[in-house]
Amino acid sequence: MFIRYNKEIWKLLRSSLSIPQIVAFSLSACIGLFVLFFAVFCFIDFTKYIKKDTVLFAKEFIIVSKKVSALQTLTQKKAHFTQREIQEIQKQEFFTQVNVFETSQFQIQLFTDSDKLPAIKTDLFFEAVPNQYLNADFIDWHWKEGQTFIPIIFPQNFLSLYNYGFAPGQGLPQLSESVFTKIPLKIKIAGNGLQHIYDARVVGFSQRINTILVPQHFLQWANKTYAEKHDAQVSRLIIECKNIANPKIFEYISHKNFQINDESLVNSKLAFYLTLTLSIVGGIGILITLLAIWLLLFSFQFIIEKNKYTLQNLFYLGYTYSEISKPYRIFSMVLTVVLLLLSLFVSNIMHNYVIQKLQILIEIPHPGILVPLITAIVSFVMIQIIHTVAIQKAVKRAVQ
Amino acid sequence: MNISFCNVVPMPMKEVLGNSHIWQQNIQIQAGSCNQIVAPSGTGKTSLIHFLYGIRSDFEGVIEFDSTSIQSFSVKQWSQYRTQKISIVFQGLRLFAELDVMENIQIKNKRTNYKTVSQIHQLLDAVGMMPHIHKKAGILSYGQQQRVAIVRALCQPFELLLLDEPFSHLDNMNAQAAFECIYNEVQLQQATIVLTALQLVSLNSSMHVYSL
Repeated sequence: MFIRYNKEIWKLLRSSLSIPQIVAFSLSACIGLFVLFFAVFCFIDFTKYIKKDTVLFAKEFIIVSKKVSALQTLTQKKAHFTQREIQEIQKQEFFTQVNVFETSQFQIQLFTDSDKLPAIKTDLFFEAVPNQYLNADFIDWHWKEGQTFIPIIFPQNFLSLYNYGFAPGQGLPQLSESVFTKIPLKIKIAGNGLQHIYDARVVGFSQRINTILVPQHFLQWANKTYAEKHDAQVSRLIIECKNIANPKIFEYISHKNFQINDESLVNSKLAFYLTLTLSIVGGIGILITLLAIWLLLFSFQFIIEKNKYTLQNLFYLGYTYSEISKPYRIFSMVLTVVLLLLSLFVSNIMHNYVIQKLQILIEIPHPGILVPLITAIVSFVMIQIIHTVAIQKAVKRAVQ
Repeated sequence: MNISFCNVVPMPMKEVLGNSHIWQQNIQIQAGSCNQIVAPSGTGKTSLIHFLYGIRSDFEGVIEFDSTSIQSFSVKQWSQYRTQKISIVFQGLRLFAELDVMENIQIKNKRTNYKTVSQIHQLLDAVGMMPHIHKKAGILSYGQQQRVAIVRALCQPFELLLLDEPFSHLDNMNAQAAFECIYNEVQLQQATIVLTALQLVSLNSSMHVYSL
C-alpha cells in the first residue's frame, strides 16, 4: 500500500526525476488541456446559441419571397405570389405545408410610457405566421379577443441595431435580451376611424424570421377591425419542410426564381464553419495533450531506464513490479490531477472573460462546469490508463 | 528449508564440467544445516546462488525447495520468497550508494518490520559499523559495505540464507564478528546457510563443505 511506502524508496526515486522534463511536460500538457477545455466551453456556448432559435420555433421551415427586379420597380408591379403559384408549391414532395405571412393593414405606433424609461416612439408594422410554427412551450403566444396585452417577437437584428446604432447616438443605455424582454411597451393602433392603445412586451428574439411577429389570431382580428381596405396579396411564404437540408428545395427555389430570405441559411453556413473551426481547435488541443502525455511517458521510460540498477536492486530485495512502479504512477496521477484542475480553472476564467465581452452582442447562459468536468475526468482516466500500462511495462523491462 | 539438487547443470558450463559435489549430482541439503561451497573462480558459485535466489534459471535438471521445483515459481512467488523465506548477501553487495547505512538496512527491514531500530543498532555495533551509521553507502570501503550488506540480510525472516563470498574483503577478526551475528540469527530462525568462498573459511565446525 501507499502508506507502507517508506521514505527510503521515495528518496531513491525522487532523486532520479528530471525537473526540466517534468516542467516541459507540465507546460505542454497545460497548453493542450487549456485549448481543449476552451474549445469545449465555446462549443457548448455555440450549440446553445444556435439552439436558442430552434427553441422558439416548433418546425423546420424556410421563408420564400419573389425576387424584386428593376423592371418591377419601374412598372410598380408588386412581387406577389398568385394562388396558382401557391398551389403549385404545395404540390412539391419536399414541402409539408405552405402558409402565408399575414401583414398588418393599419397604422401602428410603438412607444414607451414610463418615467423610468427613455422616451421612444416609432412607427411599426406587424406580421403573423400560423401558431403551429411557434413553440408554445417556450413562449406564451396566445391572444384572445378582448385581451389588451400583445406578445411580440422581434428580429435579433433589431436589438443589434438598437444597441450599436441607435442607443450610443441617443445617449441611451445598451440593453441585453433579458432586460429588453422586461420593458413594458405601448402600442397605438389606428385605422377605420378607430384608435386604441394596447400593452405589449417583447417575448423573444428571432434570427430566423426577420420581421416583427404578433399572434396570428390577433393580427387577423386587428385587420378585420382596423383595416380600411382588405388587400390579401401575399408577398412572403413560410414553408414547412420535411428536411431543410434537402438540396432539391434550393434547386426548385432557384429554378422558380424565388428567393429564400431566411437567416437560418446564413446560420447554417456559419454553424458549419464554426463547428469545423472549433473541431479543428479541439483537435489541436487533443493533439497537444497527446504529445504531452507521450512526453511524460518518454521521460518516465527514460528515468526508469536510467534507474535500472536501483530498480533491479529493489526487485531483488523482494519488491514487486507493482510496488516499484507505484511511486511513478502516484507521481503521474498527482501531476495529471493538478494540471487538469489548473487548465480547467484557467480556461473557465478565460471563457468567462470572453462571455462578458460578448454579453451585449449575444446573450448566452453560462454553459456550466459539468461538460468540461466530464471532459477532464475522461482525460484523466485516459492518461492514467496509458501511463499505468506504460510505466508497469517499462519497470518490468528494466528489472528483468 | 530442505533443498534438493537433481542433475543440475548450468547451461553455459555444460561442456566444461569437472568433478563436482553439486553439478550433475543428486544431493539434499537439510533444513537448518550450515553449508559451505568452496571453489575457484569460474566454477559456478555465483550461478548456483543466483539459481537458488531465482535471478537466473538457465540450468538443466531440477532444484527443489521442500519438494517443490523452483522452476515452477512465478515472479510474485519469488517476491514473497525474497521477503519471507530467502535472504541474500550478493557478491556485488547491491547497496544503494545514495542512501546512508541505516536507510540501506531499513529499505529491507521495512518490508516486514522484522527488527526494531535498536536491534539493528546492536547488529551494526557487533560488526563495528555503528560509527558509520549516517554515512552514505557509496563512500564506505568495500569491507564496510560488506558488513552493511550482511546486517541488511539479517533484517528479515528467512529459512535460507545465501551468502556469496561475504567475507572476501574482511580481515579474520571482522569476518569472525560478522559470522557470529549471522550464526546467531540463523540459529534463532533455524535456517539453512549456503555460503560460497574461494577458499575454505573455518568459522564453524559443523559446516558441510562442498566443492564445485
